[in-house]
Amino acid sequence: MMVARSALRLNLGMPVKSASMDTRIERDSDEALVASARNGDFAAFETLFERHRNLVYRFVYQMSNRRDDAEDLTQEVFVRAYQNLHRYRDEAKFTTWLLRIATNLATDRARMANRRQALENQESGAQGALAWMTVGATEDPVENLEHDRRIEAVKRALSALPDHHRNVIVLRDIEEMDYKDIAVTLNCTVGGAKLRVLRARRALRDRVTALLADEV
Amino acid sequence: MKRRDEIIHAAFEGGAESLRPRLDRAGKKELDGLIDIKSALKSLADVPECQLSNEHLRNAVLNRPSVPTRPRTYWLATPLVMAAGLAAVFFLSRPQPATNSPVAERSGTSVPATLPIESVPQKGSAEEHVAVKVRDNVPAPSVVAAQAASTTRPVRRHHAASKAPKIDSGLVVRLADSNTFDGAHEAANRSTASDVAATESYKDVAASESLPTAGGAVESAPEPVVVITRDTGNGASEAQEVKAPSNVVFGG
Repeated sequence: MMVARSALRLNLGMPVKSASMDTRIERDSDEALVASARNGDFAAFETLFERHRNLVYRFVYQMSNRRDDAEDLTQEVFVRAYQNLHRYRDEAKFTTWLLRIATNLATDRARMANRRQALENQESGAQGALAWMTVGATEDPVENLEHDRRIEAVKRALSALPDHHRNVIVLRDIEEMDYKDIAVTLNCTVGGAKLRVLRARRALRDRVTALLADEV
Repeated sequence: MKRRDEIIHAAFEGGAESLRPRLDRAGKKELDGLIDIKSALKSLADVPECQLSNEHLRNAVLNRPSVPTRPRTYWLATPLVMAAGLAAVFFLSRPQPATNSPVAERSGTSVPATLPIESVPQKGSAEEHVAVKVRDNVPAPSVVAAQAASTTRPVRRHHAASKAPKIDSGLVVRLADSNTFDGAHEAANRSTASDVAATESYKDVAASESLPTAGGAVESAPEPVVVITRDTGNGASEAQEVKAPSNVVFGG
């Protein structure tokens, strides 16, 4: 079962206009739950976990491309968050803080697994060999084949990108985060975040172009 | 903004249709390729469902030992510890004040006495005559040792460790052994009067060189006096320390 980004957005929450629910919203806000968790209320932290685990999981899955690794990393992110709740400042959103922890952990994990990354590339190549069995997006088999080939090339190019490039591609082009949140997550300015995204897209484009040219 | 960056921005951030009429054929192809990449990235957004449960998280949190928080001033402790260690080493390497050990390495009279034993000239040689003359002009080494015992000079601590008076003390022992250094006896035999004069001159030098001791410095014992006499029977001279708790016979 796949988790769509639209379902995630419901958790991130748009502002609710009903005034009768303001008190409950304030009580259930991330900041209130964080305050309760700081005071030892583990149930409040569990609520935060249920609310944001998919966000963290999706991000680390894009960084690791493995479900078991992504689940381990997600759990590690929340454990670290619980142990460092006293360091969380309310200026940033709790989700942004979580993603910052996830970014650091995923980067560290990726550095220690360069060899494993090569194996994953082989694994993704094997998956590509079976891609013709999947149902295509359109009824034209040639177009479907071309579409799958392009997706596979993008996936391989993304996996081969350096971590600092892959981070911003995932945050901006897959998770569609705002530049402001990306800047907070990466601890840089908004202009710096835009520049990083542009450089990462350039690198991705070059790699995808090279992969598609090799296949031809 | 460069043209290629403009195409990237239009493909990912929107505005591709407004840019397309202004592009040539290669630009349009690149724009289409970037739009395909963007759509492929969107297809990567679907991920397998996360199967983590609250129980997993609770177990992970409860079973994880809490991270010990390091104090923020931890890095300040490093230079303090190093300084304390250096101070301890400096303190331990300080020489202990010893009243009965010779510390007269600064005395000008000890310079010829610190000649290595290998450099002692042979009897009868020209070098031997020169050495005897030199020794005649300076007090006997035993007297130097007496001076060392009597004058307590404030020695700078960091010099004391590097200039330990081992050579002088060893020399005194060697000089006491008549078999290894006959020149002292010869000099003593040559003139008793000159020995006494040398003793007196040494006393003057010792008195003039005695520096005021710093506060807390140990005052020395009463200055011993060495009297050199000649035995009328065999003509050998001997030096005897008088006016001191322990009389030590030198030479002879």
